[in-house]
Amino acid sequence: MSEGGLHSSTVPSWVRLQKWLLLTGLLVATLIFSGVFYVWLQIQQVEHAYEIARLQKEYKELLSVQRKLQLEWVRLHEPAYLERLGRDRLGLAPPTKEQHLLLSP
Amino acid sequence: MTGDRQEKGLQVGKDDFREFLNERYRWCALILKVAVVCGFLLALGKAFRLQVLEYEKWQERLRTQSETTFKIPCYRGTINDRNGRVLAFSVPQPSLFADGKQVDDPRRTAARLAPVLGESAGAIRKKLSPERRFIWLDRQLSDYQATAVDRLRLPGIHLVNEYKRFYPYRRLAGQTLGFVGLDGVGLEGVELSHDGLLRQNIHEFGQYRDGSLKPLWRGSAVPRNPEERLGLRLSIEAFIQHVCEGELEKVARLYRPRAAEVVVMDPETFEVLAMANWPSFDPNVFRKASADQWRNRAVTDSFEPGSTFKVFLLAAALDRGVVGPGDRIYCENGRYAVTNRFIHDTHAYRSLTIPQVLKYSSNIGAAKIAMKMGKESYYEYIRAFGFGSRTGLRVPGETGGILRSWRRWYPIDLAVTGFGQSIGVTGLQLTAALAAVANEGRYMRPLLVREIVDHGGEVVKSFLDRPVTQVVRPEVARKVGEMMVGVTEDRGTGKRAAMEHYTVAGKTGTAQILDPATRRYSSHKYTSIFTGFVPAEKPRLVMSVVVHEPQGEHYGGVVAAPVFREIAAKVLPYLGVTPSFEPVKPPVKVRWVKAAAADGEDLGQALPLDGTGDEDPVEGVFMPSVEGMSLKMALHRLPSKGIDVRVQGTGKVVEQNPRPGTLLKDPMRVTLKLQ
Repeated sequence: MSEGGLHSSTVPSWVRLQKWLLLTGLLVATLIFSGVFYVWLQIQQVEHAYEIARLQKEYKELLSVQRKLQLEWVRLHEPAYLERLGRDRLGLAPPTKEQHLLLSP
Repeated sequence: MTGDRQEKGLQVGKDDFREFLNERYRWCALILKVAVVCGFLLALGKAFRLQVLEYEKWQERLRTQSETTFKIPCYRGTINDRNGRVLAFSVPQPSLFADGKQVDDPRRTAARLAPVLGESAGAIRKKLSPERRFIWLDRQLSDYQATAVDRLRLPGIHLVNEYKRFYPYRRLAGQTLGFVGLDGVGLEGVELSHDGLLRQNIHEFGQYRDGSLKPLWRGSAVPRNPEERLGLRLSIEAFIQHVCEGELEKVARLYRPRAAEVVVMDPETFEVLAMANWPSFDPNVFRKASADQWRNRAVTDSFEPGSTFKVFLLAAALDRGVVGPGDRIYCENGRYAVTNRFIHDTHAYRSLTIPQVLKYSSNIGAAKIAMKMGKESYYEYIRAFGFGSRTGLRVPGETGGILRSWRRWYPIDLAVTGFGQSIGVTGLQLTAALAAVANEGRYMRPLLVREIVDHGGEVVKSFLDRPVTQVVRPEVARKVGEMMVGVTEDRGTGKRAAMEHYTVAGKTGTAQILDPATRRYSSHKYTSIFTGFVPAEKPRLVMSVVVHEPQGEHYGGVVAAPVFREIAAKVLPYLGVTPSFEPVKPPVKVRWVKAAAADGEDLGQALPLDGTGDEDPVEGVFMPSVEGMSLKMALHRLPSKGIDVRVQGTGKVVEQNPRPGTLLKDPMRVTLKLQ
């Protein structure tokens, strides 16, 4: 007790005030920083929420385009279509019996 | 003293004033207290009203103002053929709706939408009622229409994505696949039978939106991606199906039947490779077809199998040991009485061996064998071959056919069932039963849906493993197969099914159709049938061709057998099946170098394939193929010297004798049958 009293009596009052002000300033700065950081986080969250929603929509649209292209691709492989294409554009026809070549009976 | 009095008087006055002030203060304080308390009570009351009594109302208002729904699509499962070719596929397609309250000028809106939608402005105007908040204007627009509507920017007119089912191969396997309604519900075929598996509901998640209605995702996890979950892989092979449908079109043009069907099956696995119907329809525009066209006749319609049923009778009789392959049956010279009814053969036979009963399709022979078998025994075999009950293919409307209990059979019923009368079968049942003969007597449940697959094509569940039933002994099945080869040989009823490079085992059938009005067999309505398997020694395809009520011709061997041959001729090389034998005559290492024509070129001189002419050319003139040609064309193709041409009938050449590739000797008789 006496040491504390001796110690406190040895530290000048302005130093103590300075220390107290410093700690208070740090605390206030931390609080302000935390507050700003929290607000920034909130803003980021909202921005990302918009971005996710936008990307989700874009993904959905791209997938729909991809599926339509896939369908078109499949349609181009339709046996009847290929047969028509071969016959009308390329002048192909099924081989006649005379054109059959038996390689390995 | 006076001063004291004055002081005292002042003191009294101050006290009174203080007392007066205290009194006023207390009242004021009390009023203030009461006011504050009342204020708080009012606020509390209001809060109670808002938070408790009207909670639902305000919660709802909050929800509508700040919440929205994220819709994550879940596409209906894709249907593939056995090789992964896409047969049914869903894509998002925009639909158009109106909010009647938001539409400011219905007449103008209708006038601007009319040319895009291809509807009259009056009809659209009628739909645009200002009282209704949701009005469908058109469902599943094309992409061009949707873009055009979007550009109009009409108030109260909105687009929303729905999922449309497309069948990219159009008519291919229309009856088997079925179709899906506007709301994505399967209505026919596999789409209906597997609707629960294929249809997936859209995933919906509650989320937030801002004042300008922009959505924002504030969920704790990333939203799910649009997906397609489970699809089906069928046993159908798209090319084989296409070939079958093409050949049915041809036979329909030639004989103008009421309907026709083909079922092709793999005899080892009993997988249905093709199930074709004529008339066909395009499931993309299913409303343009009649309900009659939607029907998959191969499973929904039963018919009398006629002589094709003799195959199963003989298999049963040989298995039971009732007859032996070397036995002879006395065929009563073409007319045989059973109780008070007569059974006839097309040609009168005195005595036939068991293979000849099949080859010449003797009804009397079959009737006698059936009567030797006995009702119960024969009935058991019929059931074991899968007749009289549904095959379990899991397609809507499948019938089990018609098979009365043997206890209700009269002697004549037993006799006529021997050659396929008084019994009803479906094309699928007939094919599956014959597949058992081709598969050394082993029967399995036919299969249409091979596997359930995920979006990546990985198998989730396979249906390939099924129980096997031994219907007849393997040696009996092989023997029956050999007998069936005789049917497609020279003088057999099914010789038009014979192929150049493969051995065909088959059986023809021509069944009169029972007229429901008169309850008698019609004299001019027939079902023409050919059922068989190929190559006979190691079957890869089992096929049944059924033509209902053909016009002009009605014999199964004339109408249905060529369809079998043409399909097999295209499908077997596609499957990589090596030929059973070398063609009878044409040398394999030669080609025709000149065709007989009006310009005087010679026919039939053959040169080695490499065309060098180093090897000796094959001597002689070979019979060209003239089938399908007019008489004039055929005569041009035939060599002009040393040939005696006999012509039967008019029209186009449907049969020629000798077969193409036969070495023509001088003199030689050539017979052309025209139709």
